[in-house]
Amino acid sequence: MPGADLLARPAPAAGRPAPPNRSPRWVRRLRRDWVLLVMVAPAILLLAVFHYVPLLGNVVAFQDYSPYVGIAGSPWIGFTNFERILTDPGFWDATVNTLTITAFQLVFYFPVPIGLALLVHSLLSPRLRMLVQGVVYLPHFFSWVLVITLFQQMIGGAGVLNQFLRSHGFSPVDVMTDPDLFLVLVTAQSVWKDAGWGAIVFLAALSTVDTSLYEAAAVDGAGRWRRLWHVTLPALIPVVVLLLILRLGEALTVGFEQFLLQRDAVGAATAEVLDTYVYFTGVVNSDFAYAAAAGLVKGLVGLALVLAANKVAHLAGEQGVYSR
Amino acid sequence: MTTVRTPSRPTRPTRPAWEEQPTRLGQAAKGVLVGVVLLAVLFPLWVVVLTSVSTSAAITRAGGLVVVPDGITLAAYAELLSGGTVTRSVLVSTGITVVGTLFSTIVTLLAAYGLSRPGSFAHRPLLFAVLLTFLFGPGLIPTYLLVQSLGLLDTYAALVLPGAVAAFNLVVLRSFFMNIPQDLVDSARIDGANDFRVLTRIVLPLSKGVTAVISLFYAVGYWNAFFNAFLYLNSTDKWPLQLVLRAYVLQGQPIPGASPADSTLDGTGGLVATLAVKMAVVVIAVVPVLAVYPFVQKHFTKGVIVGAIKG
Amino acid sequence: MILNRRGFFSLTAAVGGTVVVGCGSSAQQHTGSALDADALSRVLPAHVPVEFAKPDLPGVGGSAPGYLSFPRELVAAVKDKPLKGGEVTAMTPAFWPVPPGLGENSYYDVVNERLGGVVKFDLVQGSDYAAKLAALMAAKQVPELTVMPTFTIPPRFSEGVGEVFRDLTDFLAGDKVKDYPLLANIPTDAWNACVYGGRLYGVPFPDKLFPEALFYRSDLFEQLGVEPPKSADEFAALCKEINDPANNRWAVGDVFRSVVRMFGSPGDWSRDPSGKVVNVIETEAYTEAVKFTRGLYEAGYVHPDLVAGTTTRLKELFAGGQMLIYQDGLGAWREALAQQRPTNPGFGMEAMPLFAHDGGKPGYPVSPPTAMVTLIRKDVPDDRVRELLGVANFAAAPIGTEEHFLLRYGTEGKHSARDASGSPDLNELGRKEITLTYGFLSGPPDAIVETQYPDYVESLHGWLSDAYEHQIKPPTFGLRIEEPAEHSKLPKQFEDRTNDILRGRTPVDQVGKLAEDWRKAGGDELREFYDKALSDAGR
Repeated sequence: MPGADLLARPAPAAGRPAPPNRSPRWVRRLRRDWVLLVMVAPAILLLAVFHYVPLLGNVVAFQDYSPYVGIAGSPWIGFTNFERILTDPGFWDATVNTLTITAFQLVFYFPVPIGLALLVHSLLSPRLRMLVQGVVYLPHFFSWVLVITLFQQMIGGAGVLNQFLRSHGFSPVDVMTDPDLFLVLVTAQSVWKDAGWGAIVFLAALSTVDTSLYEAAAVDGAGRWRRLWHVTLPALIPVVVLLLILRLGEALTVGFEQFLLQRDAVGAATAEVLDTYVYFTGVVNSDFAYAAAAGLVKGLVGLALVLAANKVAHLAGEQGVYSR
Repeated sequence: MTTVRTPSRPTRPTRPAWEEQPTRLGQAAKGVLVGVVLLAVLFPLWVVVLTSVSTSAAITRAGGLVVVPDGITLAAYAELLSGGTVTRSVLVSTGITVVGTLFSTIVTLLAAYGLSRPGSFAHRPLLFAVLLTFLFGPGLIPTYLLVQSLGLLDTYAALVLPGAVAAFNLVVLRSFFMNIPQDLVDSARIDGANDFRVLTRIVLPLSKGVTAVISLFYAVGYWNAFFNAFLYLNSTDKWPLQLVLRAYVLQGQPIPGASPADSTLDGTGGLVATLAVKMAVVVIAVVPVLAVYPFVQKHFTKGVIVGAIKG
Repeated sequence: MILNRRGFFSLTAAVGGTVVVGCGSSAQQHTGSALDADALSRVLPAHVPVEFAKPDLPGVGGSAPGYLSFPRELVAAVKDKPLKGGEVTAMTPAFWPVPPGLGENSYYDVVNERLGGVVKFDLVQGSDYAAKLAALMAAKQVPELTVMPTFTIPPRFSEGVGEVFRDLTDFLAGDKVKDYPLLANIPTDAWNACVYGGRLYGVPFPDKLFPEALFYRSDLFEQLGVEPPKSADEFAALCKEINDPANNRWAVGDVFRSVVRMFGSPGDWSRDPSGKVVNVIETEAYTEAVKFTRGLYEAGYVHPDLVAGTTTRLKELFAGGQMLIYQDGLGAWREALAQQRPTNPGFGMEAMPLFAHDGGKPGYPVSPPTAMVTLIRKDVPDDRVRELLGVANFAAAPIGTEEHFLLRYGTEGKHSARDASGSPDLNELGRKEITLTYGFLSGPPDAIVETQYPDYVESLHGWLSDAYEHQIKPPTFGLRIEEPAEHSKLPKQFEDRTNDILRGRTPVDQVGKLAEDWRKAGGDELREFYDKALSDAGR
């Protein structure tokens, strides 16, 4: 199977032969890999200084924190902020909404950039391919306000579509304010705004396919679809799995503005997601401690999901985010 | 023994001999699909560009975004570009984007390579530490206090360093590196190449596409960023373009918690339609991406041929 | 918090669930506070009005005066240069594009020359102001002068203000303010927002008492042969008559807050005749307003954009005649004239005269008339404080003074020119260089000075004097009340519930349950809190 080369799990590094002396194993590994560590060092240093140090500031989640007296001066209040979050039915409603949207989008949004990348990849005419590739990502640069305004003006109650219907004696259709269609609507908006941009990574992955494999497969008698299955997809799968896991890490995040802006249209029962809930409960006129607590809850859930998904990926023989 | 060949141009006018002719139905379906995709993107683009060059009267008649040309003016662009602050901010943004992208890409490349060797020392805890930064974010005030205590307030470094490494980019890049046949790397090392050499001579040429993509992600991030600048810079002379443009986007726009009366504070009453100016900002923000993208796209050409891998 | 918060106002400040005076605070042991009226009066500056140009339309019983023509002769109100050289750092919000910086801005040069020192502005975009100020305060990095909008106060500000900013009580309280005659010209109500913990910390930029009004297209009303209504029934009938979706024309946009006023809202918090503290959501006015507004939605009179909560093209819809009545800040009026008159001279926009649902006497619960507060850094020495207050005094100069003209129109002939009727207008250089910067450091009392639109001045003057007569001062007026944090989600929660009823997502009988649910969800505790706060303040 020609595609197997790319899919094959690389064997553990042979490395150089172990030196004859009997130093501990980790010393030998360190001696072998110190160059790699030097290469990693700048990134780790930057993350340690600019991410981990301020991350310690999240201890304010356990405080009645006032920025003006600082962490040292603010009283400790244990899990009160977490209680405020976890005992509120509003939090759980928002969580259910968020997870519903995440699940729906995993099925109906996530595959779209992959499909788009495959479509672009399959175009024979280089000019057409350049054109499609060169424009599909542009809506990514539109703000949510603009995207929703565009939708409103096209398919909203006073939009182009409904004005056409009205002037031809039909009754207008209600897409933007129907809570039952909300899932479909927000997913359509996301697809429209970000699918082209999301396809870029997959296009990069497709560009790593060794084209000689196609020819070899064709010569072996594999048809169009079999080649897609056995040559193209194997090149995509690692990155697909990776992005899927990372998306799960953000399962409790589905966007903020998009929902904030359409909240009145369908009501909070449908459009309240975790980020808007936290915003209105803690951030909008109140405290950093609450926001920090909410951030920690989200991070922990994300971490659990990433670890679980990574485990599943390993069981399925994929490398996931990091190898076993 | 190791050859890596990249075709010079993506031009491949004819279907290769081994590929079967597509069915008519398949062709038609694909054509429709491509048409829909193009229309879905180009139409709103048209609306945005058209509105940006529409007169105030045309926008009023349309009741918002303009779909059919109805009075054209470049006043919005003139207003944007005549402000003394825009020209300099373009230079600032360009500088930050170029320097930041180079820095971030290099640091990320090194780290992604350093973490990509199976079984290497401490790679798992390090990778985990990187991943955690993707899941947990620091608060605004602690970050500000840090930047302050490092003496970076009101410096351009404060716009680059805090977000220089994106865990997402690092992990994606590493995943691509992991899929490069390990034999290639190993054989090079046996030949005496050190890791820097392996990275630049073997791994990078095989990863041009994804490296270009990661650079693009960083570049777009730096180009569009305004919040760090807003927070850390005190002098408007140092403002990057997006911060300057943001004022035009926010113009006449309500502020959270504000009483509606606050629009009385608007000291200017320009004759250029605010919506046109806002759309012009969108267009201006997209132009550099349009200019840079072809250079990224170039690396997506089909057919990186990994030839002669150990027989 | 990287947010583009457009369209936000309608979400956060809309329905009156609770009042938020000052800002929320956090966590349980923090109980919130109010300041009693005596303590207030001890720290507030005296009010000594001055007038430099006689208004054509004098204020009626205290309402804003109007000017139909711009004074020809200007008076120098500040004799000496307030600063004794050197540099002053200042931070002000900007709600507009930033002007060229120091060294490239001739307007800055000419004002600095007049002030006797160089003011270095850090301009911060208004929508993100609270975030930056909170960070600066936490790091104790504030500039010498900080202009803080009262609508973007950082969290728990009252705890930090004394740590970071200078107590100005001993410089300004009572008659001491007379050292700064133009600050003494600012009415007392505007100073309330500058008081924290019983001490005076800032200098106000005054604002109108009435944040918003219902606007209508007077030119189109005339064409259609209709008049502004005088009762709820007339309003509904009017909507029916002018609503015409088939021709892309709807009667109203978002009008809910105005309808609550029309049904007799006593303000967000009030005492009923028995002395019990009530929230507006518990009042009949609110219930009736919900039912009435729901009727407008049901009948299809509300523009679909607003039904969908999209406010992005509100002004365009109104200007384009696709929506004939809507509610907006009073400032939107002049903005719309400036935007529309050049291309559509017939454009007519008027504020709807106040009316009550039953045709009786209307009412308008007023808001604290302070838009900005200017604060001075804590470590600034006394002499320097006096200099900086001198700059604020300069900025408070009213119409008819050279200082007022200089700050808004720069140098005549260079940054601006007067038209045939004597109204000044910025020229190209002026538009590029001049925004409200110095002008935010304090401001004159409310006056209508847009002399280039005499019809507007007359209309607004008339509307304001009528509204002034019908103003209701809620018991909370002028008090700084910080609510306990555990109730911070109540307003949003019940705004959402209200929106569900208005838009027909929940049955109309739910309106009867709103007040009850609100009480159970923490409203009763909040009531006790307000009762205590108001009693402490002797109200």
